[in-house]
Amino acid sequence: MPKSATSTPTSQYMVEVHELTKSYGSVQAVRGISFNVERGEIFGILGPNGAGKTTTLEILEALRKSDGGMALVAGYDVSLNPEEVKRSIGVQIQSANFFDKVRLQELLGFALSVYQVRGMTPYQLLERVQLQDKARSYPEQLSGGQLQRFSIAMAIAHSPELLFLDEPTTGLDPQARRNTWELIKNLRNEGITIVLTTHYMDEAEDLCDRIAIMDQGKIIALDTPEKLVQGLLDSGFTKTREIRPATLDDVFIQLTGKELRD
Amino acid sequence: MIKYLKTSLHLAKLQSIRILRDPVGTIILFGLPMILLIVSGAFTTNTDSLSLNTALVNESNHEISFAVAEALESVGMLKIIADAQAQDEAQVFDEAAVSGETPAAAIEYALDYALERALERLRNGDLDVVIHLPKDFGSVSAMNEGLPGGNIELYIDETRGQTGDIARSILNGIILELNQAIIGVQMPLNLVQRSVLGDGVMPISIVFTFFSALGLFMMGVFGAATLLPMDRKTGALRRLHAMPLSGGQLLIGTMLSFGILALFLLAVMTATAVLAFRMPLPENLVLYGFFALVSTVMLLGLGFAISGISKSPSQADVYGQIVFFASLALGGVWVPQSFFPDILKAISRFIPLTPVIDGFQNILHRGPGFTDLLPQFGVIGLWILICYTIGVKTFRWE
Ligand SMILES: Nc1ncnc2c1ncn2[C@@H]1O[C@H](COP(=O)(O)OP(=O)(O)OP(=O)(O)O)[C@@H](O)[C@H]1O
Ligand SMILES: [Mg+2]
Repeated sequence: MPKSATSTPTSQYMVEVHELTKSYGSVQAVRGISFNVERGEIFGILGPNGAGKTTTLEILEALRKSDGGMALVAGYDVSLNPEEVKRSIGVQIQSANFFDKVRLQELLGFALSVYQVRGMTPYQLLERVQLQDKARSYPEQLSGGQLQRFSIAMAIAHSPELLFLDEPTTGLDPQARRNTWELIKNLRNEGITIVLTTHYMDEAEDLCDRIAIMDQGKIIALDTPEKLVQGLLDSGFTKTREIRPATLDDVFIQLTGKELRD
Repeated sequence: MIKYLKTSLHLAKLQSIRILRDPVGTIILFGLPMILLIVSGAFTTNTDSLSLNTALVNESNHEISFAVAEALESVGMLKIIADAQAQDEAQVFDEAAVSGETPAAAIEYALDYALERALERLRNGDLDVVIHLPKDFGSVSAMNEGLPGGNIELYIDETRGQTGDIARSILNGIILELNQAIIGVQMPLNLVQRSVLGDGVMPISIVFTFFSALGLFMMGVFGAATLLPMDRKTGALRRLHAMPLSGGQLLIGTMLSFGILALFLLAVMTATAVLAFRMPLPENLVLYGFFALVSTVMLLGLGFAISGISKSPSQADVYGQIVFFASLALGGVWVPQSFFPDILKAISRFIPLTPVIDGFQNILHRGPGFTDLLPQFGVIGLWILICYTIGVKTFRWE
């Protein structure tokens, strides 16, 4: 694989972002953000709708060109070496369909062939996301949770060193969410660096080593969950509501069990 | 390079699977051209044994009317399923009259009624033509210089296509012969019909040429044109884009799948025409295959260009239909090209469909060499250039 002199995959960070900007017409979706993602961590991007999370991910995934700034992903400059970036990363896209009328095993077979992976079968990939009995289903026949797991299977077909997950648990029931968390943690334990976006604070707290909070195209906070909370407390913040040792989420799980439902 | 093509091939496989698993698409893209070929093929091969259901009402008792009736009966194409003749009826009624039951005037009434009934059946579609010889048909008059004369009345239903034309030309033939017999002279001027395509040409090859070109055309303007906009809309292309897959690979894979399916369709149609309808196989099969391939590349390119300029699948559908029906109109399907003003005639020669039909017809009928097809290859090549340029320039993943 040819590597350009300006970017070798030896960077200390898995992702390096410097003053990245992106506009859609008059809408400034990303306004000069900078951050680094360490190797092996789970990095979360939080923020309200329209904050620019998806846009940021898409630039890093070499799906979209930035207007300015620089981004190194897995050591490659996304604007100079999009092809190498794509080979090094796994991508799970927010709300996009797979080819219809193609079976899961056929889609995975295609992914394995695009990335020229040997010694791995579609069945093994399906097993990793507990979809082995859906091998002959079409993606349009899957439930929301199954579909999310399948997109992760597609994204890890070539054992990438870096995985981007855009809202991996949105729309899932509590069991499916927790199951997806397990899956993500397992991937991290295998050494895969993960960058994900989420709207769920419990998810960010449970999964992420570090969190960037985005709003209106800017990163307004970046730290570990603990330090973010501590910082808030240090500033004199007190919660008005009494903190309970359990949440409604725990009640739901207690009542309906931990196993996957779909 | 090999890896590049391998991925394209794999994609072509996925795309083919999708197309074939879609029942509606399969019926339109494969079923329709096949059905059109089979239905029209059955019709064309039957022209020899084509028969028009005919009623003959002969009210005349003059000798020449019997000659007409006899001549009509000897024409295979006219199947006389009802006839009422004065002489037959007269016989029946004469016998009846002997037994003193019916007056002979009733014959006339019965025959009048026979015509009424026949016309009613013509209106119902039960009969194709009604031939009426009036009472005075064949009578000798001074106006005819002492020769028998009269009018044969032919009743037809104009709504039923060419049946009227066929019956008229048969009757004209009969009249010509009888006229010659009456006058006792061979007519000095005669009409002989010959085909430009040569005498061995069967109508099936004309029908086949048209519908196979149509099949390839539909594969482009309906199949290839809508698939990419659809995948753009659902985001399936974005997913592919996230993989290390180039636009070229997507294009090659998708066009390859439609191309293979199109050539497969053509092969099945050719086999059907040859085996079921006894169409002669093209002499130069290599040229036939090569021409089909180049035509397919062009027609799929047309679909690719449409997919690029369309903002949505439904828009692609509309563009496809416009191109489709405009091509058929300019191809002379509804109004024969000979009625076109010169400018339209010139345009029709350069639309994508025309060189394909012309080329196939040449290959099937005249057995030409490569150089004889240069004009067609030229126009097709030009369209390939135009279509793929537009397609590549307007291509996008989302
Ligand atoms: N393709 C596009 N064309 C034009 N504007 C866009 C496009 N994609 C996003 N935007 C705009 O850019 C801004 C950021 O959008 P983005 O999708 O990155 O937000 P997000 O943080 O992912 O939001 P969500 O939480 O809803 O997924 C929004 O104002 C959005 O309207
Ligand atoms: Mg988003």
